[in-house]
Amino acid sequence: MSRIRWLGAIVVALVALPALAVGQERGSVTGQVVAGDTQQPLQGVDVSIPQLGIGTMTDERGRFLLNNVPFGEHEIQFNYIGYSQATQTITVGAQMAPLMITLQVDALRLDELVVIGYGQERRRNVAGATASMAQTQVEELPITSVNQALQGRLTGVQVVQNSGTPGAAITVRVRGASSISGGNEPLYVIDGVPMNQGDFSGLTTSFGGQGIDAISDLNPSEIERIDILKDASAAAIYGSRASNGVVLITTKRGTVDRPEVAFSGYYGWQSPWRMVDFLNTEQYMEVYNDGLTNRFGDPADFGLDNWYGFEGEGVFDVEVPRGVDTDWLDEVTRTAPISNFEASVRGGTEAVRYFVAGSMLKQEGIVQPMGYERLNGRLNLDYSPFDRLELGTNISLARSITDRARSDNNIYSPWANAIANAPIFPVFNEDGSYFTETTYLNPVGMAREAEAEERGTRIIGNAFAQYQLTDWLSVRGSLGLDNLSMRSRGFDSPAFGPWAAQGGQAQAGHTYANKVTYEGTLSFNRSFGDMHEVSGVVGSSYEDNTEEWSWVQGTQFPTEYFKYITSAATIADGSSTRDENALLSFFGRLSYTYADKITTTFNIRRDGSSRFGSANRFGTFPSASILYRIGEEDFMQNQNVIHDLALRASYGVTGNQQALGNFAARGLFGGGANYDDLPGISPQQLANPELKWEKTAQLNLGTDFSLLNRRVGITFDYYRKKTEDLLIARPVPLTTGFEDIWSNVGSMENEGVELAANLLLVQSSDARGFNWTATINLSHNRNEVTALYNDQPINSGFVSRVEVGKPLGFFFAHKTAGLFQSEDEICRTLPGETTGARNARCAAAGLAYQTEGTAPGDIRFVDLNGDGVINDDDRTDIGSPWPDLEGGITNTIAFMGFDVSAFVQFSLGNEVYNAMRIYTDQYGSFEDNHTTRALDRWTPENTNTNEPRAVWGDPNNNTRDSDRFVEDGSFVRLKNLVVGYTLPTSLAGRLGARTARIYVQGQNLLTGTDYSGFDPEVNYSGQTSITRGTDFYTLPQPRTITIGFNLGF
Amino acid sequence: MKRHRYLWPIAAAVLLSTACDSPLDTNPTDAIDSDDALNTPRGIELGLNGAYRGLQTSDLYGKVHMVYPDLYADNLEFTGTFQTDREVALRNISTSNVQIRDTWFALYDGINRTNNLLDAIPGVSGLSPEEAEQATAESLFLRSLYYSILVMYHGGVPLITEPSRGVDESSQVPRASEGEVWNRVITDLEAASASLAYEFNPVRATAGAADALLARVYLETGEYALARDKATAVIESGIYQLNDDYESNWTTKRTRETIFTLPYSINTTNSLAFWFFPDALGGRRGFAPTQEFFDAHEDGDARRDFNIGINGGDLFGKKYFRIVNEDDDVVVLRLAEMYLIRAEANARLNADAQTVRDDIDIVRNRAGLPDLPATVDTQQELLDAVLNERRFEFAFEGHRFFDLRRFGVATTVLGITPERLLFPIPQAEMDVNPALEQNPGY
Repeated sequence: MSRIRWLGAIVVALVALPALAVGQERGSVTGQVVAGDTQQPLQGVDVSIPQLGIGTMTDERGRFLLNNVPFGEHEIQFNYIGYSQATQTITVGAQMAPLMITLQVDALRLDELVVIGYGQERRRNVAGATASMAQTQVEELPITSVNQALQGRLTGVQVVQNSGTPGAAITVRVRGASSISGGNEPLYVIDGVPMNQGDFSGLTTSFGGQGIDAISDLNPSEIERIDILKDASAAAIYGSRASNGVVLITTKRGTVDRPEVAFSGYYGWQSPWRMVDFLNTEQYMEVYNDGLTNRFGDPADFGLDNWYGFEGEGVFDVEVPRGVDTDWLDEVTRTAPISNFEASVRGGTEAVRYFVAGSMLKQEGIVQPMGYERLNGRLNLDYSPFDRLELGTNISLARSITDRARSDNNIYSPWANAIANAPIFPVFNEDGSYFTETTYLNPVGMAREAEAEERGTRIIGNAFAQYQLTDWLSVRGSLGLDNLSMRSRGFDSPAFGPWAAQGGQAQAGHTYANKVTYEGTLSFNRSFGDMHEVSGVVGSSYEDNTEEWSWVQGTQFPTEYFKYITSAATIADGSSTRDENALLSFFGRLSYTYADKITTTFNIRRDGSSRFGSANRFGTFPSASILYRIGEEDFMQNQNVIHDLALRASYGVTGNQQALGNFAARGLFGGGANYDDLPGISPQQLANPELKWEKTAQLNLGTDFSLLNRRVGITFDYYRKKTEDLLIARPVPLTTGFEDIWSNVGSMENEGVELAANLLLVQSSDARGFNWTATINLSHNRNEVTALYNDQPINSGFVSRVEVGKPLGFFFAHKTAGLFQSEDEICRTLPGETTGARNARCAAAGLAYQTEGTAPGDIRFVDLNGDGVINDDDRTDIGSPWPDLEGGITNTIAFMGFDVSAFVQFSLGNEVYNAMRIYTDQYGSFEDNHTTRALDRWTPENTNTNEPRAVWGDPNNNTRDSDRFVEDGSFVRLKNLVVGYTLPTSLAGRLGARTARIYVQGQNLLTGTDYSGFDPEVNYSGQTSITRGTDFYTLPQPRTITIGFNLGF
Repeated sequence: MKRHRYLWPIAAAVLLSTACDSPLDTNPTDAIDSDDALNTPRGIELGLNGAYRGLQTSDLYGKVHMVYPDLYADNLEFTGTFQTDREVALRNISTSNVQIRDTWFALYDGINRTNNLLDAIPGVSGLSPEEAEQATAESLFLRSLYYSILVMYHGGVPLITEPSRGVDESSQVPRASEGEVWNRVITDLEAASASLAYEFNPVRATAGAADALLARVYLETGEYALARDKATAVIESGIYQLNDDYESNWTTKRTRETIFTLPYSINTTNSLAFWFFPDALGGRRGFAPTQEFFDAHEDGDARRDFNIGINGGDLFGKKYFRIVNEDDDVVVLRLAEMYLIRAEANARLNADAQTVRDDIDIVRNRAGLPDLPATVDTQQELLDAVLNERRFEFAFEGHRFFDLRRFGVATTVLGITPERLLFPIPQAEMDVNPALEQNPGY
């Protein structure tokens, strides 16, 4: 331990080093970089003289300044994402003319610097499968989270916004899911520091499936670029945490220039993009009367006009005022504003460079009282006290406030209750109080009276020192910190709602999560002659995680104005815990390039984790890759069709330990088994000292090439991931007194292809001329579970199931075959008949017994095993939540300062289980409001339909889980459309600005789908992979229109 | 050579990376290793508390076991949203019913807690012989209670008497016969009864609790004379006495009528009131008394208006009423049951009709009802009177379905096939234990 802490001490010592003065004759290099396609200045171009190890970036006007350059001849390089590298030999002397550099676009972006684990590499030399995007691609979109920025943009990266809940977690899958027990999110590393991920809420209230995620604390616009490591070759250097891919986030850094100040902002309006139609009062009454008549007989036989009616009108009269027709969804939704304002300053000198940014985001949810607010501040500082030493720090501060409401599968959710409650109830009584005789809690009351607030404070930062030992060898030490503190508060009123009888309740929670990372690396890069280049890194890291959680709950409040526990008459409950885990790692990479044609790379990491069982403390994760730039061969120069053809292959092993609890390997007795207010203990967990990480072996074959004079760049990858030793809490006989034991059993495969195309369709050399570019990405992934413990299937959620030979979380339930039209088709029990005899008789007649109450108009379920009875054994595969094909297409057109960018996202071939319909489509039963499908229900007059009859109590259980509720979830969505105008420089100058731009943006403007629910992009239980694609009262995404501006000074 | 001054500590920083395990040794803060848990007297005390606590889960006395025997019968109907409860109300439980599985598990979890104690107690130095005997007897009582619930729902079940340390082939235990399980329960309870003292301590196992449970078990297994004798032993112990009014059993905690009760408090709550009470009163009303049950009460039966409330025209159970603090105690055994067990045993033994009626009348009078008329005097009439009395006396106390079954009328009253007289073995358990056989008809 102490030796590890040394590393931190040395870093501190490095920071304290006195600057060294080096005497030599020196001059400066200045110039400007413009884009070959637009002739516009390029900001953020990496300008460097590699021999000297110095560099800078261009400013907003594309200008750069390199000071302190020794006199003499040097090679200066210019690198910018999406453009070919430019190299120029310059002679530095006392007087030098400014350089004018034009960077030419390259559709394959071969000379882009790609961030890889513990280093950077030119894309030209990257043999692994990675995907990158610059923040500029999403700069003006009203996205609040990094994960939204990734959506639909990159091949092999599937992003599903689980719901429209502001601040809620988003599901990210890199090349499918490789784990069953959760933990399918990629590893996030920001400026080299692994981040705390997940839900740190301190409340015990269930919010339905929509959790929060610590990733949301990052402000997307502080990000320079995002690189995603997809295959084992790229990711293996992150070892036991890399199986789900690695998201490397690089934030913006300072430049060598005078300060450039930027302001930007947008304001917009969000509203539901679609509403599902529900019954009005008249229709509702009609369906329920039909349901009661079908159950109890004609009301006339009992001397009644109606079964169901307003007070005095029926037997089941409801005490509600007449003439009410409440549109509950309208009552709880609203047009919600979203706004974001930011300011940043970027600049510096040769010795000190800085980037300072601050921003303020505020979003309200389309359902009251949801909302999300975030303040972000960042300081990225680089300091070179002398030639070979670089010191730096990145500090990010974030403050987030999330106003939450119960959602999805929570019975007190405003949204769910607005769907469920009948239109016959008024919102308020005549005296203005909430009407409380609703079937489900009055959603308007829940929206207004229940409070839940998460206030997070986040510090993510690191300090590093890098020293160039020789011209080919450098050493770097860094100390990283991710500290998260979350204050949570919940309040349910004593005057209304689920806690009214308890006199109201309040909760106060606090979560503290602290991650400290110590890291040391030694990097080398050396050429031997013209043909051989060797580079790589070796290093070690130690990561220490602590989480503490405390919580208290009070009940019985004087009135609804007293909301904190200090006023509670009863302290009802309280708890606090602390948890720790640690990771000790050694890693290395060796890369060899021959003649700029063949590159081979080897990665290895050895991870030791406190979570692993004593028998498996350390795991080793190797990978190897080869890249053959066949396009560089002489024989490829004789044609002019395919350029830059490269072939890639890689293979390696990565791990996943997210699903592993901190002490899952130990046999434990837990506390809390208290009796009669005396402490007690009880058996909690069976020991498994063999427990370890999940292991994924991945093969990747890829090719890159460009066509049409490098104006079309194509990247194609095929991969096959085999995951073994899946962590499963495998069921044990319950008679042991345990439900399961954590074990490494089971395996899974993902296989897929990815195609990315970058098309530079029309390019003008005139800055304000016509330009048209497009990018297309397509991904197909096939997932199959190949082994489970004793091949026992696992059921989860409504119909989700894990079974060998099937994709993870496929839908498993009954099949339907239309409706019964006559009594002859129905099988009933004869008096005195045993179950077995009845079933045999039914089977012989080609029928199947369902229930005694089955009648014409009920659904006929399919007796798959032909045993004459419908039961659990007749369930089968009825669909899959995984798409066959998904991707995105972006078109950007610019002309005369105007530009239009349209981003279409699509997902094809996936199914959604619309579980809300279990309740909304139970016609004439249990008082839930119905979708207007109920109007097409079976009646003796309307027999040509698939909608069953209305009947009180649903004796046939027509709403049992079946393919009735499986719907095609495919969609094509105009995710974003931006129309902008960049003012001519002269006009901007009159405003005192160097650049000025205004734009209008629309999100989720159009969606094409056959899905009948609110939104096909849905996961009712959040990020879990097993229960994907189920819709259960899930809040849809909003349609958002924003207007915004960008100003540079 | 100025630069070398910096070079070597920096290189050392990178290369200090030799394996050291110690930073990877972390410990949980809310659990201890199994091997260290039960090897001291304090450990046994804590483990025993844990074994009692197992009864309190919502899967057992905290909800399900107080509700399902009435929901599966004619006292309660389904008014909630959970499919699991709905299947019980429809008397058509699927083998995949998660609640049935959870309750099965809760019972075996409790059994494993007691098995751990019974295994550990002999090896604990520092435990006096008396303390060891007491702890053993309490563990045996609890294990018997867990097994008696299991066998009532499912018939014969795997009989496990050793603690679980790991999982292997030997964990796949086949079902013992119903008789074998009952024999074990009877042997253990008799041993516990012999070791324990007759004293008033209704939250712990006592001789009274063991005998009362034995009376119930003997009645179920047809040993009517033994049932009668055990009931008499409890009645005549002088430790317990009937409360003057019915509701005191719930409005007051630990009354003298209480033989064994599970104490709940603000720290250990149950959701019985929550599930019985309607929304407007802060509950969920997942199930409600049937109108037929309400109407079946005789006029003047004080139990009706204590057990059943009306809100907005809807009936709801209100025997468990502490909706604010959710700390209603759950009475497991009380003296009134001993009178009705003795009455039933005597009736089945063809004892004198007045003797039978006397015991029933004690319970009736307390509920504000007059004595049974002397015209109730055939064995069948007396048995019918006991069954009827039990229905009202033990509403929402986990008896109704088992009573109907014991009296042989469940199939007719509930309209079910004989196969539905037992609940299924959970499919999840069948899946992991191929040695198990499902009950017929599932």
